[in-house]
Amino acid sequence: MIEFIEHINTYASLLESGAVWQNTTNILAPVIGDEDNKQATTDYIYEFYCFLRIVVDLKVNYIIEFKEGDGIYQYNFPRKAANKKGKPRFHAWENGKLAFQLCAGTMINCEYDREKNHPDISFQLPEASENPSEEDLIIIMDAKFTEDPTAKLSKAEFYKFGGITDVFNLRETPKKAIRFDGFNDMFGNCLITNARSYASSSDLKLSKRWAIKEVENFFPGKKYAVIG
Amino acid sequence: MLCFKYRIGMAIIAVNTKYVYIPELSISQFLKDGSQGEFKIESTERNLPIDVGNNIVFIKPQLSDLVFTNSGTIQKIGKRDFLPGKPVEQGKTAAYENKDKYHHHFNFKVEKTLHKNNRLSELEYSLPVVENYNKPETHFQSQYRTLVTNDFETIVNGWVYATRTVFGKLINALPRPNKLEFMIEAMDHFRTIDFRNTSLLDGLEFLYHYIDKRILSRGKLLVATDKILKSELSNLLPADQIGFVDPQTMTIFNINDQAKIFNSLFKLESERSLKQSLQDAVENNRGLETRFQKIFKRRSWPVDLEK
Repeated sequence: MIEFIEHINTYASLLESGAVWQNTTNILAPVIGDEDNKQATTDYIYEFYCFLRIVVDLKVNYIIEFKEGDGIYQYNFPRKAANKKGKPRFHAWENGKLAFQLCAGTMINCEYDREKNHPDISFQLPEASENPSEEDLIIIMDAKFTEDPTAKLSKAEFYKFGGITDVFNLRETPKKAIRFDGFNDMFGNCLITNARSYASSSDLKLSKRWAIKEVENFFPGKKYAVIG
Repeated sequence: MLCFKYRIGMAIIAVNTKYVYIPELSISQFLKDGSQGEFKIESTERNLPIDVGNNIVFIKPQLSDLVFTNSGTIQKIGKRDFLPGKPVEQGKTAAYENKDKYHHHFNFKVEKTLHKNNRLSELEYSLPVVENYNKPETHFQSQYRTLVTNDFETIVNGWVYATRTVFGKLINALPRPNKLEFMIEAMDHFRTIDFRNTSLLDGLEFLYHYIDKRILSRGKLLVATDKILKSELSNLLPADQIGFVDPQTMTIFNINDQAKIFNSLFKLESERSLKQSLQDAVENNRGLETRFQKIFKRRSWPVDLEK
């Protein structure tokens, strides 16, 4: 059995290495300060985890291709939202034709200039350009991480996402069907969280009106549920 | 007078053999039990607070750590050589070399070889003399220093204040911004600014919670992401090269490198949890925890906020 002192020394040294990104001076877990910690926040690690799980699900019904980015972005995704050009993404093919593009954190223009936005995950039409607008969108998804997994998504988050489905004109039937496999109930504009949904499954009027699905408990080792 | 002598007899000296030459220790890790030897201390003081019968512990530097190798006693006060200081040259101010100095010689006998928890890195949170948790060795960086009886006992027996060691090692493993944030949250939670009367155990629970929600939750995500990349997507992309870039600084954050660390951490924890390890250490040494609680009564939490 590992001796007590050796145990704590090993644990502490792994914690020390893990808490800072290797070969950088950047800390892994941002300091939130005295804001309400229960507030779900943007977390690129969580966003990327959600993104990849979706890619894996799509592999069942599509041929998925990884499109490398340029230069330093060849295999690295921008940590913050960025322009689409030169960033890595995935392409989904079916019957030898490009079915759609799958992008992470890509800037999307829209008819209201100030409201351009960058959904964490966007499903874009095959012909979408390197500088896409809302015309190119099929569906979008946002990922919200909170350190308190028993918390609910806030009203503000829900309304904000509702605003985005509006300015991006995503409240109608999507321009194209996405054939998910295990995630087939996630076909829609999803607000994904490791915590709980804002809407209750017994009252989905607003979720339907704004074309929002909430995906709760989406986290390693947990069973997710779709509300909406 | 008797009382005076008794007090002197109880003085305990820690000798750092980085500065005090002891030939045997430069060739071997420990001094031999029962062996005898001699050392010399250079000082501007005519008299040193070291007397016959004093206990000694010998310290040997090892990499960035210090090892307490042996305990012993002073057998004899040897000769004292006088070394007159060099005259001060005109226009210059007096420096160390201009001072009168003495070489004090002492004879010692080795009592015991210290094997158990004999490193400063193992004892740092069990010795009240240590206040610099970033560089605990600074407290021993001189030819000799005196110690109180409690600390001598702690060193000779290799006793560890388990709760304080876990608390100290964990919190000081965090990057400074996280440490500061934890302390602010703790001040708010425990309604104190100095933590002198806050139980270390309660503090430790609060710290476990902070580490779990802030650091380990991200660790879990990285491990899960790394696993997806390796087991599900490695035919599409080079799994261990995938990462993030900060567009402002162009710094790369590699997922696989970071996940490896958390994999090791979670593996260690699954084999035996740190909480369990601490609980066992405390239960096997109930008396020790109480002893240390008294020694560290009203001491603040061992946090180094400078670094």
